Amino acid sequence: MFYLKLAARNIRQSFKNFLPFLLATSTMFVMSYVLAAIAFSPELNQLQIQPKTVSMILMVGLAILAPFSIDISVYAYRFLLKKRSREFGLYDVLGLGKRQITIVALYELGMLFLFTMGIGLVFGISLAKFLFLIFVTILGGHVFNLSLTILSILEPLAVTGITFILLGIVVSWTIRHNSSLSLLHSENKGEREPKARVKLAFLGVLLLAIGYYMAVTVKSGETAVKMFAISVLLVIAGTYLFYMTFTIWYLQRQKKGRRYYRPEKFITTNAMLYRMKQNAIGLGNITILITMTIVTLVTTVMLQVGVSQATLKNMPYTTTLNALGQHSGEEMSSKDSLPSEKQFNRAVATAAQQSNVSITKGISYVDFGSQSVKVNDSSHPKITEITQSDAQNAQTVQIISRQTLIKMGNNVPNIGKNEVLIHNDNGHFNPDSITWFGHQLVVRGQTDALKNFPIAQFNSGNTSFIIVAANDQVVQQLIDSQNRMIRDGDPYQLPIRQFLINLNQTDSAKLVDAFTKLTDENMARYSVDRYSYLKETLSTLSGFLFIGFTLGLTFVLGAALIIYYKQIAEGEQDREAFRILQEVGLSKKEVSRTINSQIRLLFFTPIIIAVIHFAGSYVMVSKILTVFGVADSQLMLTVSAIVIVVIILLYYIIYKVTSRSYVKIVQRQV
Amino acid sequence: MLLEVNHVEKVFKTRFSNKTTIALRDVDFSVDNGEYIAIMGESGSGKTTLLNILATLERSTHGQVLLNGTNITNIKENDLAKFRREHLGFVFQDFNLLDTLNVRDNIYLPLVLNRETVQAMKMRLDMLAPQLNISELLNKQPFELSGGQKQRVAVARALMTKPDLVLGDEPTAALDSKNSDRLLNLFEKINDQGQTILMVTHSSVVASHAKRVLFIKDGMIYHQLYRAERSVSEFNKEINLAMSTILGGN
Ligand SMILES: Nc1ncnc2c1ncn2[C@@H]1O[C@H](COP(=O)(O)OP(=O)(O)OP(=O)(O)O)[C@@H](O)[C@H]1O
Ligand SMILES: [Mg+2]
Repeated sequence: MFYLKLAARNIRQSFKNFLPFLLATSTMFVMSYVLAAIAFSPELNQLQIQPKTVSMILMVGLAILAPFSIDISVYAYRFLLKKRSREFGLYDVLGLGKRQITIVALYELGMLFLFTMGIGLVFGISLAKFLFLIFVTILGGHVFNLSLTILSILEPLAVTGITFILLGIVVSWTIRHNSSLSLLHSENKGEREPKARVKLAFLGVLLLAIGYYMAVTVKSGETAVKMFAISVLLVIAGTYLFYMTFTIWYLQRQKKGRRYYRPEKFITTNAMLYRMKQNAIGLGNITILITMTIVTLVTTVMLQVGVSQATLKNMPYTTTLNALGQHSGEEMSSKDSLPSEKQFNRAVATAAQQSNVSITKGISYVDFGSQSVKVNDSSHPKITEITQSDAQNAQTVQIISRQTLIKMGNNVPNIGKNEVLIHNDNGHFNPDSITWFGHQLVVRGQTDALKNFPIAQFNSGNTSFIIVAANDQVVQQLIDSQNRMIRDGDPYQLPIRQFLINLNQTDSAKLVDAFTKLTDENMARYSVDRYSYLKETLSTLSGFLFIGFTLGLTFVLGAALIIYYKQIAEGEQDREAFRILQEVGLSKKEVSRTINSQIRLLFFTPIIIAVIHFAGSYVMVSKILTVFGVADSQLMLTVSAIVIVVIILLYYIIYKVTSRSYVKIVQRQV
Repeated sequence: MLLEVNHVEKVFKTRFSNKTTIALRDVDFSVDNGEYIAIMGESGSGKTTLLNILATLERSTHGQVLLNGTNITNIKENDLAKFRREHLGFVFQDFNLLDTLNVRDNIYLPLVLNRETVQAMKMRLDMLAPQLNISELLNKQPFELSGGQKQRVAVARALMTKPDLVLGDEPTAALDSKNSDRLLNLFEKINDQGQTILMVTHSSVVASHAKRVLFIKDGMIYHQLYRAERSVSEFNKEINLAMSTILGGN
């Protein structure tokens, strides 16, 4: 009871010392809680796109966060202990045994744990609700709701519990293994200059290089996720090694350099070298958190902006009506599966009449679909084989007639029966001629950018091109030859009749409604209303946006916390040094210059490396985005640039605010 | 005259209350080139305050301090540091070595701040190191040194710039008597080579190594004694006697 009271009194009396520690543990709790709340939310399954991937990403996030949280808490606690070891030493000298001191310290930890839980839960739940509310307000409609689940509390509870048990071990060990005298003096214990381990330094750089190489050379979207995980691990390991060894090696090389005995360099190099051991982990953590923030935000924003842009590009018309013929299934020819033009046009006209919508501006044509084929690299490629879209040398090809393109308002030059034009959607296919399943076709050139061409069903991730043939009859022949080569298991592409028109929202809905309600046994009818399609897609994606921004915020918060801690811890350490420097003859101006150059170095290093990391992951991130159908490289560049600028700004603000607390601690008041 | 302290007064105002403390009332003395002076006084008599004013670390409220004819109480804030490192050397009670630098770089520090060449620094240190018996310590880190060793390193740092005046605030306070004696002998030796030294202390044993002792009390120089040809122990006796008379007045 006595010890409990003593512990309580200690916390009350030096609450100022305990505050940063509580800030650290509670922030980490809040972060884990918010992530876990999303990861374990039953509503995650309602995401229509890739709920498994999202929950996997979140689990990875949690897994990364756990060691982070332990690391930061231990760091904060050691900082607290350092300040308090004098107090412990005094107890010891005054006759309170080490056992008893340990008991007091453990009681303190117990109370701090309860505080952490209390503060963490209150802020965690409020923050989650708050973020959610903002989202509902901005996006409206049915978005991701966060309900309180047992698991989402248990996970951060477990992590925090383990952290505090570790802290208990740390404090018991510290008290046991230090004499009371060294406890009394441990605030100014010296440290040997770290050794440069050249081999490890280059291992770190090597790991980074391999990670980057994997990320840059990744092939298709499917394997990208797996490769991504591996390269991320390599890069994380490489980053820590880089900071722990490479920077030390570099600083020590600086010491041998000619310019070492310049005042600014002299002081900064030594100060950085002296604490690089503790700095390395912190800088590594900051770098990784910032990288994760950039990647998360770019991905999320790309999804949101990219999907609606891609939708507009892939569906140039607001309203699509289409139909397949009803077929029996035996001996399919592409012709059989197509309803007659008359039949289709009649159906469309009926729907228009019933819904009272004018369809004079609409266009009607046959879409023969697309197919993945093997295309070898040659100026006279022979195409004879249908294949899977992710196979080697696979190209997705769509054949379309010149007439159809002209109907859509494109300018297409006249071509003969055995002549074609090529339109590259994604790639650089430009042969002199093609042999298409036995048909000799002369390539007359490339078409310009296509207007109003719906490529919704076109796989925009792979390299793909469009063959423009003279007319529908030629197209039909080409498709027929192609379909004769289909083997068991190959995908079979059915041609469809399409009707496209631009309408306003109500008319579009009415027409689609009427078309679906038609009764006609001979056609399978489908329709898309772009307005409702976009709305639905975006509302699903807003779940992603919510998760992405929450993750980003969490990472930034973590980085801010580490930076704050570094600043106050280093401020305490440097205060004495700067006092001495001023007495020896460093002017105030030079002191500020030195402080600024140190801060600048520690400020710019993580953000520069984070941006380099992001550049390394760029190819991979864009590949993963194509899984979601977003493949706009221009947009990706813009979004990345904006996100990076925003992050740098945010980071700069964090650094400015926290470095003020550093300068305040360090500057001598005369 | 190397140093002239003219009617220096220092009043401390506390920021939060209006209470003022008069640390120095009217301090007036001068120091010649090559002197070795100890300023003695009780705790709270203003020794550190006086030394800090001489060191330009603090400004006097009234009066002037001239070093080689320059009024150091008028030096602009921005030029103070430069002045300090060019004209003064410090030896403090708690050594004030930088943990981040090894011994050699700690000693080089003032010259580095002066942007001198490596050759010049090395030449100067090669001269000083054997004298101070620190040649073996140069590649160590400060935390590996004993108190006496640290203080000798601090002395080396103070002497590197060939200062006009070496100032010491209780330089032996953190040392045991053996190391303390060693340091004081060292001071005598460098004083014999012409270095002017001024230190403050409350110990008569320490003061008895100096050539002249000034007594400070109630913020004024109260009395002074010259050692002349007397031995350290004889001088010590006389200092003690003087102190008891001064303090006896209380
Ligand atoms: N920064 C300050 N603010 C207010 N009062 C001060 C300040 N520094 C010193 N004083 C006061 O000035 C007086 C002289 O202090 P000083 O430190 O010069 O004494 P000292 O002779 O060095 O004592 P000691 O032998 O204990 O070191 C004391 O009364 C002290 O309280
Ligand atoms: Mg003093």
